[in-house]
Amino acid sequence: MVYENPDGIMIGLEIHVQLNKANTKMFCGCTTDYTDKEANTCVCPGCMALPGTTPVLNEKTVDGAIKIGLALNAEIENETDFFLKNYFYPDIGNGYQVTQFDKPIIKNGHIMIEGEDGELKIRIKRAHMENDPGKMAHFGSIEKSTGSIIDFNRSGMPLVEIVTEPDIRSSKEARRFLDKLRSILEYLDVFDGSREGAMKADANISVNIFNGKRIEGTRVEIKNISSHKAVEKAINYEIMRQKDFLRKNKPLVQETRHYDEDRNVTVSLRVKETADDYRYFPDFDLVPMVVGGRVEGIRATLPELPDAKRERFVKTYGISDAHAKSLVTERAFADLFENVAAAVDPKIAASWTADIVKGELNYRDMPVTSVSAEDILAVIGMVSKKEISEESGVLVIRTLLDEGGKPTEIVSAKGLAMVADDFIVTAAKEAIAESPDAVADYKAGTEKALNFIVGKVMQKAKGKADARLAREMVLKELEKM
Amino acid sequence: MIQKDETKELAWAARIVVEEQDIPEYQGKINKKLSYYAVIADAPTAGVEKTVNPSHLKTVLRKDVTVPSMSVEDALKNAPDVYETSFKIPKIL
Amino acid sequence: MAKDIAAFKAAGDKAVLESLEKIKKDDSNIFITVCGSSKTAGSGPLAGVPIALSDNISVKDVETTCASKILKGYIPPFSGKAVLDLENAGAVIIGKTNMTEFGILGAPSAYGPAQNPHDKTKKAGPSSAAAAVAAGLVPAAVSSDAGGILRVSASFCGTVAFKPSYGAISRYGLIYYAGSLDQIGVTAATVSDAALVAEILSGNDLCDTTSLPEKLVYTDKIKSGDKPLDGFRIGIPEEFLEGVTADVMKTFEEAVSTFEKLGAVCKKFSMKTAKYMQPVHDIIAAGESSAMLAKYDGTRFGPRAEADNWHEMIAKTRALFGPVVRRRIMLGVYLLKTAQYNDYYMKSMQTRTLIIEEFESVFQEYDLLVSPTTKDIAPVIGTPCNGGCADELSSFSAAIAGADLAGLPAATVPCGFVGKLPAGLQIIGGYLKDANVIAAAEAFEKAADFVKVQEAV
Repeated sequence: MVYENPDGIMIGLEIHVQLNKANTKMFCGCTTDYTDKEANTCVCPGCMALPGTTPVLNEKTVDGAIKIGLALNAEIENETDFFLKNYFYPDIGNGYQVTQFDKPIIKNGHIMIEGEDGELKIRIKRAHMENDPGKMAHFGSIEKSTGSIIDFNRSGMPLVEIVTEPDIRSSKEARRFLDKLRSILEYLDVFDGSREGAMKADANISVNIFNGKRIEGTRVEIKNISSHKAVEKAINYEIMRQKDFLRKNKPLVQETRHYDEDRNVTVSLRVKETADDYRYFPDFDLVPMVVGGRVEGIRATLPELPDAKRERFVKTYGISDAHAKSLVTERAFADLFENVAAAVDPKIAASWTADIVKGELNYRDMPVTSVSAEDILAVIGMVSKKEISEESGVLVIRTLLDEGGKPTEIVSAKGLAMVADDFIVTAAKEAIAESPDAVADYKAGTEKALNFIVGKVMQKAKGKADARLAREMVLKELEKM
Repeated sequence: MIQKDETKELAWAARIVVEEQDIPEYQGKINKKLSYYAVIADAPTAGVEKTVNPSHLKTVLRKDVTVPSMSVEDALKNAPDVYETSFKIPKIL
Repeated sequence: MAKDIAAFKAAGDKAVLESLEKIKKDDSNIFITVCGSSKTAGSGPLAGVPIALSDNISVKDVETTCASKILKGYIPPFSGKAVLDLENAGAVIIGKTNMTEFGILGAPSAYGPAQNPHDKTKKAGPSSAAAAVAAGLVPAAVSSDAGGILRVSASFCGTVAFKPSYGAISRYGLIYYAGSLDQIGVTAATVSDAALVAEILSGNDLCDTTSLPEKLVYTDKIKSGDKPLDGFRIGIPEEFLEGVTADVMKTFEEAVSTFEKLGAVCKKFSMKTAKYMQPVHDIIAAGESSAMLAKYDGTRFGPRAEADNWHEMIAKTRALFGPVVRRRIMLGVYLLKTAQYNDYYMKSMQTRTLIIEEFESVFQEYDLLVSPTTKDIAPVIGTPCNGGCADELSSFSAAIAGADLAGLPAATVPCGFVGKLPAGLQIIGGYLKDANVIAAAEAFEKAADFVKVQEAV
């Protein structure tokens, strides 16, 4: 199947990623762990842009950017530098942002995603390092506010801005790209996507086919979208809006729009008469950065990434590709699977971790750390030894997620242990004695009557019997008659 | 050479109020500088790398070790206006 | 007049009090803020010695204004590295000296001009740090030197000044307006005192990227004997002599013959990039200052003008910059705009490379370069100085601009008088060859015995 892209949609993304796994900010020693902290308590003269401060680049952010570049299959610029991007805004205390310009540290990479019609390569044009501004809040809405307040705790957070080529053809592909990117970044241990403001995206969208004919599309940029789901919705809205304009023959403007999540619409930001001139020029407070030697060292310590891991899981463990794909989205989850697979049949391990544990965790929105490989192994062990039924196994997992405890304790507390064989023999005898009609029917050739008797046995065992065993026992008893 | 309107635009781009009556003086002095700079036009710079800083150092990096932040009192003590522990400013649009 | 560190040390515990007393009596507008007390004296090579700082070096809890209305009332919550180094050496920060606004040449101080200790009708120069030493208020003072503000002031006031190679002294806490051109320097009564203080300030600082990894040592390189400069090759770029008045030229020529007596070989030559030095310095200074001075917006610190919209508010607040500073910023904004970036800014950064390359080849042939520090003696207060101040240039001369652009070590030593006023000799060394500069300056100082000459006047 080939995806035809009937509207000629071209989407490019610019993703701002906070390297929030570093301990300190980009140019000063202030902590990056400012979430939930009181405003302006994680600042120093440097990140608050007081007079007389000088920046010194954090080694960890450079290494983080290199890791990202390698994971995006990109070229790493050997000698790179920083530029000042000049503009006045209250959250950018210095009056400029430190960023990169003509020599970004990363260029020409790609990520493979699952596209509308199979594997799709999304090219990464460039990725550069820059610092985050502070955070503003307004009294009332931004348009009608009476004043604003600024918190510089976020100011100076290290960012990598990743810019794709417009290779994305639908909102679904955009979402998959972001999911894949997030997964890779978390594998690299440079990024914690669960923190507020960790990832933001700008989307450039154009519709390039109208009425079956190729047209010169108008590129519209939607700025600062804060979640993957919102990106998907904003793109859908924007495609719909552009198609609507084309149908009604209304002129589309190349502009920047804002996505209003509550109303699910994009709105035009004030159009300026003249384009901004950011007066980019080299940052004279820093010296050139030669990354050369660092790259190979980092490459050697790069973790196995999701795609490689998925392939290895299929090959080494003989599990299905669907299971492998599901297991590798999160590094910790893949590790959990491998710990389980080390002790039991990998296929059983895959089915328990991917189908049951992952589903139960997702349902509860709980992290992988909520469950241990030992617990899963204990459950699998009991099920395979027929000490508990499969259904009870699932119940044990649910209970330990909801209430905590150890699997064996849960089994005994809830009385989930399977009943002994002689109990089933007795129960089978009783059930047969209690069901003369069913026995007669069975003997007359009505196979279904057997189910009634087996059902009775299961009732007596209160579900803690293996159904197949119960059936065998009943058959054995019937033959004796 | 810059024109009068351009001088006003520059003042706004630099976010500096310059009184109308001072604009011609500013324009004149800036233009005088631009004329003065004409001498560098003949510098043989084809293919020459730029120098941003006279330092010969490269790749100066800092270890990722946290340094205690300032006290919030110090952070705010020079603030012209404060709301709780944030800097307060007039509306932005 | 000027007294050296030993003389202040001789006063023991009273040194700081005496200094405070003299500053109080002095009416020449040298200090903006006085902050020292003898209680803060520590131990070390400068134990109990009062030292002054130009008012663009941040001292924790002491108002720091850069002589600008835009920083009125600003109290830094931290001290610069130079301040900490001085305090660790036992020095007492006695106060903050007057200067041109943000140290920009030709930009009048919000506190008015300081008077020259040799003649109160004359200027003390753009950094009053030198006047503080010349008036005997302190034995040494620390100041920024972009555009030569410290060296020129020292020349006007008859003190020694030394700015080491770029990166020798951390700029952390220095409120510079042009980061690639500025380096903290020291002025003192004698070369050895200037070298001593510079050595205390030198050393790596993790807070300044451009800080050199190794401490530069100045004080143990000085040769003795009759011909301490034997074998020194001293170059005199002809372009550095352009526009120098006949009187100042006379002091310079005598200085050259003194160097020859000390064993040096002096030779005039031509530097072909000299004509680019001042314009390139001016363009880079304008561009960098447009960014460095963007943070003064009345949002986080400093005075704030009233307006109901933030952009209007900051534009009104930023009108607190004096007119020279305002024009410097606007010029920088213009030069950095995409339309002319390549013609001016990019061109300047490339020409800077040519200038540095020429200095490198010049220093293959010569150990030192010398020139008059200023083209003329201190001008009358209220008149522009001879050296580009009237044109609001960022540097006093090609020699000064060149040393800034290449980050070269440079010193000025008094080399004579024109009437009541001193003239200075500038000595420039190759990058990181600071010890040569100090050695030559000290040998010259001894030979010329200027301290005695000064006292005779």
